[in-house]
Amino acid sequence: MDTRFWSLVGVSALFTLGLGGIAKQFAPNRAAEAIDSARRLTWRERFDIVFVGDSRTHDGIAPSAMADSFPGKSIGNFAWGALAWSPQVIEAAEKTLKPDGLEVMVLGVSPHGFNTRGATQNAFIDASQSNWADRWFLRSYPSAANYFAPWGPSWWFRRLNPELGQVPFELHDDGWYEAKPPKIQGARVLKAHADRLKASPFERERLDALCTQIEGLVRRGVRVFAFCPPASEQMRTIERELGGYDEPLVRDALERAGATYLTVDGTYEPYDGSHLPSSEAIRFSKAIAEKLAR
Amino acid sequence: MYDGAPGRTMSFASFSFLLFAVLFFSGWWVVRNRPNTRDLFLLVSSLVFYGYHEPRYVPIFLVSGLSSWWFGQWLSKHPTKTVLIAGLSVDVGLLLFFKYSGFLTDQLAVFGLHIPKHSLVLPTGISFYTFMSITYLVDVYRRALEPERDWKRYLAYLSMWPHLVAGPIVRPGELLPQMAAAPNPRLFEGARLIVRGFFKKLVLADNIAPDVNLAFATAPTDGSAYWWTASCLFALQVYFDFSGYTDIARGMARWLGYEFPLNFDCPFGAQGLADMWNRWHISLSHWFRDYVYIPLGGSRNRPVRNIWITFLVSGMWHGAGWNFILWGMLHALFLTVERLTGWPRKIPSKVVVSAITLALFVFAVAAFRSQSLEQALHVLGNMLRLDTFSLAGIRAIGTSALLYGFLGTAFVLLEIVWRERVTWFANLWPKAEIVGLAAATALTVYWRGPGSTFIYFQF
Repeated sequence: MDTRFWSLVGVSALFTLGLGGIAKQFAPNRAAEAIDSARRLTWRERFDIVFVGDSRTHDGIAPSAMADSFPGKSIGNFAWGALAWSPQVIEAAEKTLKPDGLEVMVLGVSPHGFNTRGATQNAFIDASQSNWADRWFLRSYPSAANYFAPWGPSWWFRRLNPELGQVPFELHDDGWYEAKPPKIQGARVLKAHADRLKASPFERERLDALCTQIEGLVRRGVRVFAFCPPASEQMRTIERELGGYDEPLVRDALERAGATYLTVDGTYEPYDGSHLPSSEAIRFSKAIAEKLAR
Repeated sequence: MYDGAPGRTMSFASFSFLLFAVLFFSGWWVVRNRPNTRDLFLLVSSLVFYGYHEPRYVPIFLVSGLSSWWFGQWLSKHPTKTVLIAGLSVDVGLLLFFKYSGFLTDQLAVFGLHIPKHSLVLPTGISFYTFMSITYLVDVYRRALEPERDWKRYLAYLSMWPHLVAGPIVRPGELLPQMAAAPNPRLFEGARLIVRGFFKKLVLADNIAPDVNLAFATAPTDGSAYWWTASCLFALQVYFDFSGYTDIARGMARWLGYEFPLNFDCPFGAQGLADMWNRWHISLSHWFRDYVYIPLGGSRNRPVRNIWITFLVSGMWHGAGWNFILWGMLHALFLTVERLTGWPRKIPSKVVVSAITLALFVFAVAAFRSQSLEQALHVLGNMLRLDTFSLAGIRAIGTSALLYGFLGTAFVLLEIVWRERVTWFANLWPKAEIVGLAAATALTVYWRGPGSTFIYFQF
């Protein structure tokens, strides 16, 4: 019996549990997003209508707010932070549709869906790369997952500097990421977006690839809609001028592939130029549901 | 091409590995003193570990392993060059086919020769177990090693899960004799390495990785400062990633009761690049020395030519891409200059020699990390344009990566300074070592970065 080894095991367990206990006091739901990703990636529910897109759709579409327009129908939000379009995500979204339901897929399109940055790093890739055992653990033992979730300098960075991307939020069972920012954020966030779009601009080939996937969906009987989530005028200018994003061109290509492009009237106030806070998301979701119902 | 994407196999840093390890070591405790059962248990467990994500890898491994075992038996009776070449052809042929056929097809297409490209999966770890098979056959041919009569033991040696997917390359002469005897597990010595390895991988490498991946994927800005910083961070990332993996593998081997060779020996304190290659990925660089460089004539017969051939082969071993060949050429060039001038011996300050060595290493590693030859040339070109050096370039890399870069640098400096003294301190005050390792374990759990698999799974 190696006493030094077992002493190490004991002291390590003590330290680890102790540090986790302290972390729990400061941030009890640190693994909330990972748990939600694991849950949505292996969603057992099936929907009549599913929304897919990046964080703008994730924040901006509240399925529960659409009940009036679609009574008795189930709606899910299958959007992922920083998502770029890929056959894998479309395939995964298609699997969440009820086979005998409305079979409607709604794509929230933004410049990040068509660039290398999004294709390299996004929440869908992160979730897909985790293995079944990790996902099983996250789904089955959320309390333990939260207890042992990371709490290092990176977490503190985000916590102390909200402009690095983290705002208070609540996750809903239907997939909505309800953002509850304390205030509207300033110009630095726009600058960060500008730098990212400049470095990783719109790529036409990625749009063509999405169109091919839409054609496949339409052939299989899925009705495809698309919309552009609201963004501020400044953000739109940045996307157009630095990111090379041409919305009419995208709209035209998607329509030719078989999608119906929805234009939502009215103005919405994103808290950082492109993401809707809770109340605005509910308002926008109602508006898009009315358009869809027509 | 290395693009930051994961290899498809079970990673030490995953929940599934935790389950595997608990089951495996429970079984090992029961069978470890029964030689036949032990080898079979190790072989089957290793194949489960290997084929967990991609069962298709297993038959390829078995073809390679059984063929080298069979040729080993044949070589012991007929030690002729023909038999050796036939045996090597199977292993090398499989490696060439799976690793380089796509690359060759692309190159032929440039000359208008279009051959249909098959979407082959590159089996994880094929480069490592192929080299171990080659070592076995050559050593048996040279009569430096008795062939292993038991195919189960040979396959268990070749597939032993701690080293299977990313080394270290453990030579048959080092491990087969250990496997013949009753294993002697050393739990604390293993844990010491495992804790260090996980800290390096999960805390240091994984927290640096996202910003480095982003830099090489999108290149948000140019200028020498930006690329020197990105390249320095990648050098730290690859060191912590790979040496962390090796520490974990060596620690797990100690839990099994075996000893794997040292693979990294404070490489960032090296005095010249020749010294660096005696400290970095030692099992591979010594393999190239013994099985490529010396047979070509070594330092006695046309050493410069031999250096170039060795590093070109080494570049190609790392990946089927021109950027890896460029990386090999840069090292060959630096080593040639070092050999002809002997500059590390002429500079009196060890710190200056280390700094120059590190700068050369960091410069070359940018080509290694690039995703294509075009990107490699672009990055290296920018690194040479010192007129574009600005602090803004450094700030363009993420703050988090810079923070972990500083932490990593401190870790490396401590490793160099404490190289000899850690053992002395641990002997002086054993309880402090236990507390230190326990604290490192807790920090690893809570400071771990976004999960990514080990870089060397690609090779």
